[in-house]
Amino acid sequence: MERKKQEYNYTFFSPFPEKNPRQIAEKVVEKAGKEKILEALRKMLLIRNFELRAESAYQHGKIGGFFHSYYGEEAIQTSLITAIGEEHWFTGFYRCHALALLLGNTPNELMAELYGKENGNAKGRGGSMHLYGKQLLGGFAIVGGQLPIAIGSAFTIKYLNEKDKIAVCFLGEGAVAQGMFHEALNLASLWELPCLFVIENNKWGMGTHVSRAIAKEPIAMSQAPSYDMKGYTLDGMDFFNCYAGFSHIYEEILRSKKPILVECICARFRGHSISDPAFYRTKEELGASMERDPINLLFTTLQELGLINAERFNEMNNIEKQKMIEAMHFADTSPWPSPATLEEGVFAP
Amino acid sequence: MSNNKTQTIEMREALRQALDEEMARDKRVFIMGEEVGEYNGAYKVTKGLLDKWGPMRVLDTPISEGGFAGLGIGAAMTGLRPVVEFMSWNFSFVAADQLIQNAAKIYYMSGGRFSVPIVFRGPNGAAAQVSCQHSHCVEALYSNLPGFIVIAPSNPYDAKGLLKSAIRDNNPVLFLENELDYGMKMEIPLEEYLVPIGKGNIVQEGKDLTLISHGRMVNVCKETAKVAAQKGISIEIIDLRTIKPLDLPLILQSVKKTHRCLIVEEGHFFAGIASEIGFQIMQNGFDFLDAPIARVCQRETPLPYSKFLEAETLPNVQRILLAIEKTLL
Amino acid sequence: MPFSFTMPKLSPTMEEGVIAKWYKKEGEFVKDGELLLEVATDKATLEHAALDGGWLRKILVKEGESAKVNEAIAILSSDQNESIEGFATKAPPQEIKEEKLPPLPAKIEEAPSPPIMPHEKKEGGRLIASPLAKKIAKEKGIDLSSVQGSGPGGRIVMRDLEKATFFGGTAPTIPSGTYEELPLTPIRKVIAKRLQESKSSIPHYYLTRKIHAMALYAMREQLKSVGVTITFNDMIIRACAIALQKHPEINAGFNSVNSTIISFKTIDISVAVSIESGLITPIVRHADFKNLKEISFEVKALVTKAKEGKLKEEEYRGGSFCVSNLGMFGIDAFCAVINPPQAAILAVGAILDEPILQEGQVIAGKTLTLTLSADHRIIDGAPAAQFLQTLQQLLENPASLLI
Repeated sequence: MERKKQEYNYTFFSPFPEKNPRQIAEKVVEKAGKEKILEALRKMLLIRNFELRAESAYQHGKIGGFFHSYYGEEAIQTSLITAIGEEHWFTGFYRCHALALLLGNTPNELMAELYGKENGNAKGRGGSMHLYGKQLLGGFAIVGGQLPIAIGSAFTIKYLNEKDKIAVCFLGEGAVAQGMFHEALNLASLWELPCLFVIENNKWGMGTHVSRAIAKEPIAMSQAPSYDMKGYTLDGMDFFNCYAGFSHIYEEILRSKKPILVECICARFRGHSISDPAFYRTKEELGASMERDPINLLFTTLQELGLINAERFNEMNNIEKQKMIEAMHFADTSPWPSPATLEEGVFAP
Repeated sequence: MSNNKTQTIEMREALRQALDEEMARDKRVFIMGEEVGEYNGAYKVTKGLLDKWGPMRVLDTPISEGGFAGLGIGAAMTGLRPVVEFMSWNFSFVAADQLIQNAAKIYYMSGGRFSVPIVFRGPNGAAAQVSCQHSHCVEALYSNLPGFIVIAPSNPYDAKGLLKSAIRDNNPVLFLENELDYGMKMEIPLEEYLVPIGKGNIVQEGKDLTLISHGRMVNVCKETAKVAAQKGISIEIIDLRTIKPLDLPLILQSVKKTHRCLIVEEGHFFAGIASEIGFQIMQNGFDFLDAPIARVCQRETPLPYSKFLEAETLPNVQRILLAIEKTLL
Repeated sequence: MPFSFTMPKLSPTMEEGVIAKWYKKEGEFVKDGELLLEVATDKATLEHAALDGGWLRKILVKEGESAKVNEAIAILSSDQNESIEGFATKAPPQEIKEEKLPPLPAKIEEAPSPPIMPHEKKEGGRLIASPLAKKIAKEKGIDLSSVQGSGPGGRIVMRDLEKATFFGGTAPTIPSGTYEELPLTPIRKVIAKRLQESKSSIPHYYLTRKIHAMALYAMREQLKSVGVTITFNDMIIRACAIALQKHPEINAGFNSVNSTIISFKTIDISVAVSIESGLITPIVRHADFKNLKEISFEVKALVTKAKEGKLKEEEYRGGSFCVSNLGMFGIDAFCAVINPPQAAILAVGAILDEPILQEGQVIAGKTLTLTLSADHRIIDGAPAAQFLQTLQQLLENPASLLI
């Protein structure tokens, strides 16, 4: 079906009376405090360096199979976890390196998993698409397959009456076409499960533009009402807009006890995966996206607010870069899983 | 009729008791499925449980197998112990992705971090003329995948004991019942008991041939054995009870004694349970066999509506008897 | 610090690439993440950035040239002017080595470790053979229970049948080693007991003498021609009777109870007769008082009675010497077992047509071999030899038997 590619004009949500990004940023810094935001910046640099180094390791033949980089989308997951903390249930999909890093796993352990080593995050059994953590129920490879799992974790929160806890589910805009999206939203709303669905809309499902896959945009605000839910659109490249939005939405879920659907508009600076040269996107398009590099945006705003300088920023970046180089060395020298253990651990005792 | 030690109840009541007892024993156990609550269960297996345990523990779902199967898996991963009912195992195909890609694999894929203590249960196989899309036997399809435990009880005693064991197991269990058996009556103990997973049962001893089966077919086999006995043939019947993991030692012990073997299943021939069991017996009991292993299965068509066609395609006493006689040549 | 920039693996299947374009020249600075080159792979031409920047000091692989994945294609350094001497100008391609996996466990089982039941051997009579072996055995009429199985648990397989060969197209119907145990008949009991005693307690020794039998043969022919049938055995009995007169020390026995020599005063010659149920030795008593005709007549009668089982005990119990003849069966010579309490027994062989030397000439002659078994407790070699010599003289001059 030929459908002309269209770009939608979004209006981003602000929980404050202020709608201007710079004003929102100031408000956020005021509420959260400088240290918290600087720590978030460090985390984004951690993710950025991890993705680039791991990519290079892949290109040296150290990592095999599928590799989906979060390069360019760092603001979304970082801002959310900075805003609400780690003590919730998180479910992601195959683009899950950042989520694993943000939820308490060390770069060493994750790099070892990517290299397929015995001391990797999942003993070398999951790989890039299946990373886990204490509160991370996994990356999932089947598009949309993670949504029911996420509402299951929300169900547990409700069943056990756990306070201040929610389930967060990350999905791509392509997953909205899958049946599971609709089943999960219907059930979550019907049963009033405390679940935050975050659509990371980077416009491209592999090589298909969103306007050729999803009938109506903006996605969250169109879909949510069908399920008697609230929907929001956030600027996925703007850390502060996301932080403010997520903080507000989290409180709303706790108060209303209903799930909420959020769409973060972003861009990925790489192809769908490492094997995708992304010829469907012109250089100009990519260049334009990269001008809104979330790390640069955050740094620039903080710099303008006098909270960081270039030297400190470079220092931060270098420290994270070194960690990654160490992680690669760690992974390189870690042992392979023994073939004798192949059939162990299929069943829980 | 019951005395103070036993009760004579139907299969559906035995299952209900298992659910009720396990819900009393462990607060994390809850039930979910279509019509399980207010309707009291499409087949009345969950009768009265909503009234007793309330809507947080007995949940009526919309027609959303993928959604609620996955919800169950997510709940199991995060500390609860769901029992999910498929109104028919035929509907599980809609949820196949959740079962196969998630339930079976998560424990291994996560390097042992998250286990999935969930039970999926419901009626499996043909009923009375419910036609092509409602009559599948799913055991061969799901048993092929590592990570599942697959159970098929043939009588109320085993059904109750195995369902309790399944709920207490920390792995995903596919519990296959049969609609036509829900009304089967049997005298079972009043006192609590468990039936172990992974152990078959010798229903009756014999010396001429080992007849292996599971689920509803076990009762067809028992009838056939009676007819065979009149012809002087002594049949040993094994009820698998658990399909996977298979109780191979029990089977081999029997074949070692009788030297001839026939497997009866309600599922189809190609790539069925009988073909797996037959291969394992051939591989490990080659020298015990005096004749090729035989099987009687559902014929290779979708199961038709019309009653005589339905009877023709399913294993029945005549087909099994013929196979017995041929094996004994 | 110089470092090499290697050909990246830009797709999962890429093994080598061609440099399509260098975006920087030698001597230029490359920023972190700046586009450095374009690579043509098997699938597409792709841009690639330098993750870590530096001064581009040397391009090792030029535009249009190819390099394997992980092969060094350029050298960069963080310092603009530091020396890159000694740093490999064209490092050998570091193959993505097939990482050595840890050694596999010694035993890899195909099936998910099912329990293996111990195989029965042939206890309880269950024969273990493969279906193919059974089929071939049936076709060829081979008895499987006689075949040794070389398969697991003693299973008979095809190759075992190839080793078993059978002649004449028929195969044995019973396994080798089959037997039946029969109880001893009374006569057999006696033979067994007596002869076992004899052989184990008497120190037997044996003397052999070959005699010329032409004269003996001729005499028999002469007697035949006048209607008198005398056997060679009859003549030998007569000869023994005469010889025993001359050599009474041979006509003796041993009393093992008293350890005394029995010196028989009469010459009673036991004659070994083969009957259906075994062997019996009827006696020609006072043989020295009987002529050839009488001996012949008596032996015939005794043999008939013996064969009819009608011998009375006094007809076979006793005797002072024994003669045993297997000549009618073609035996050249043999050593008989002494019948206690007798001290000796004479074994007679067949008459053979043989060349013999007579006065320096080879002639066609006839020989007869006699073997005397003697009890060395009573009879020594010399007297025994002399006895045989006397027998030889008598038998080679058979007219002596007539008087």
